[in-house]
Amino acid sequence: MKLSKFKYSFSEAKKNVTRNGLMSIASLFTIACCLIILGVFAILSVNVNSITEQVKDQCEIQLYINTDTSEERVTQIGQEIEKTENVKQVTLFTKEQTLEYAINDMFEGNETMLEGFEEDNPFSDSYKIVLNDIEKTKETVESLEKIADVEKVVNKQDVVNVVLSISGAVKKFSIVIMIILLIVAIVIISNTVKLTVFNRKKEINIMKYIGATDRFIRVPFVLEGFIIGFLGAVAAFLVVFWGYFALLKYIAGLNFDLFELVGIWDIAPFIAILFVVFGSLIGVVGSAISMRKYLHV
Amino acid sequence: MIEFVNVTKQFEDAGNIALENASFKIENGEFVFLVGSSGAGKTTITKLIMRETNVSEGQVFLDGIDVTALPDKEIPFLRRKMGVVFQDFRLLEDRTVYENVEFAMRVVGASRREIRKRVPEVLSEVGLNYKAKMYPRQLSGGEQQRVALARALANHPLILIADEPTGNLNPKTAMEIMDIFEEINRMGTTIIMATHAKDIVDVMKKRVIEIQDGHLVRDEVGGEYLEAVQV
Ligand SMILES: Nc1ncnc2c1ncn2[C@@H]1O[C@H](COP(=O)(O)OP(=O)(O)OP(=O)(O)O)[C@@H](O)[C@H]1O
Ligand SMILES: [Mg+2]
Repeated sequence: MKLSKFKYSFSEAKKNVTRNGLMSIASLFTIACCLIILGVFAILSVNVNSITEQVKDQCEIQLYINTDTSEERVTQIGQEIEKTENVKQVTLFTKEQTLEYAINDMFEGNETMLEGFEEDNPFSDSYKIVLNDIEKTKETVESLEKIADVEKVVNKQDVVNVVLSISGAVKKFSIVIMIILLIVAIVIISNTVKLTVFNRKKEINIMKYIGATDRFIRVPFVLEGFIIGFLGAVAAFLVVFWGYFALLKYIAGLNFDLFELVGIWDIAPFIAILFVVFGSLIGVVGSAISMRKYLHV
Repeated sequence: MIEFVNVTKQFEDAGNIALENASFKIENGEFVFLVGSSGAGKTTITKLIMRETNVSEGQVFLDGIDVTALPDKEIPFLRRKMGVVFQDFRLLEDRTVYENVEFAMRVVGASRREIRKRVPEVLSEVGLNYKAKMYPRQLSGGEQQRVALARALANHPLILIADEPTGNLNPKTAMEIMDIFEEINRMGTTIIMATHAKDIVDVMKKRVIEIQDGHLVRDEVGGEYLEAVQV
């Protein structure tokens, strides 16, 4: 398309937006609302993902070895663990290290309680194991338990399960909500454009008599949808950005350090792109749909 | 050249046949009146030429091209060869006289320079240059029809199709419009005009094609209106 033609289409589209101003504002507002809800779920999903990652890192498995196992056997067990499927990282904690940790950290100030334990260490050697995929924790724990001389394998399966099921549910729910919102927004914008098209039926009719191609007729309407969608995206972005900023500030004041939320500058570009893409897509698809049947004059 | 070859048209939701087995030829540069009582099939003929509707049977040729077989995407280009005016003018109310004509040129992708040159030119052809900045509602019926005519002529059509162009005008204004038609025709544009205006047809002495109930009943050069009863 030639530039002059595009400029013409664009100025026609702008005229359309202002001509039925109230409808344009109404649909801009609705699209912004849809995008805001979409944004809330997107932010929620991103944060749930990030929290899941954080929890995953905290979720190591602890494997305890029978107290009277020889040092060679302990090393050997370490190698066997490394060969087990789904194991990412293995760290040995000797009973001496564990005792030291107990004395220095756990019983600080009450060291006397542990007197005499240096000679007769009650702890056992253990391995800290980090997994590749925590969703396969159960299977991995079962394999690890089969290794000889292993006393027990302890994992925080409950925490993991809760986090995983929450994050799974949030993701599924978000996808459903996004699809519903997308459809709603497309229907809304297609109705606005349909109204414009209806108002300008006479004009379209004249265009057809003069010999305008379908594309020439369609472009201003599609651009109209695009403009509304784009402006809706900008409005929604401002609201979501400001809202998330306020939330982060509020949470920072709470001194809460179990996990961290994703920073605003890490999420802003993602939200901006998401909104512009969705907003424009909604606008373009919506108007294309409403144009289809009107073009046959 | 326009040629109808055994054209029959029956609208899907209509009982009667709008046009039945009609054949005629119109050479380039001719001036033809289509006459006949209401519902005879005059508008149907103009619609078939523009491919606003398609035949049920037969063929319509325009400069040797079978219009009835044209794919949909070619229709706009077919229509660029012709200008159309209607009884009800069909101007864009929210645009000035100048913009209404300009619009027709925009649609076919004319450059800004061509537009600046052609719009005043065609407006003076219809004698409306001095009202270029006015809106349709500020104009008389005759003046509005002149704007419509200017718009139809803006892209130098080979054929001008007019469907009762004087239907909403008083006799004096109607004759003034016809003078412009005559002039356009003299410059080489083929004119096909469906009309009920007996006085105009009788005075102008052009070729007359008369249709009754979808049948071509008379085709006479220099003919008169002679409604209905055949002698
Ligand atoms: N879109 C349509 N659908 C169904 N029937 C139609 C349609 N257009 C025209 N007809 C029918 O075709 C016949 C011819 O109509 P046409 O409009 O060609 O008549 P006309 O000669 O132009 O009449 P008038 O002088 O009143 O304008 C009429 O019987 C009319 O009812
Ligand atoms: Mg008619």
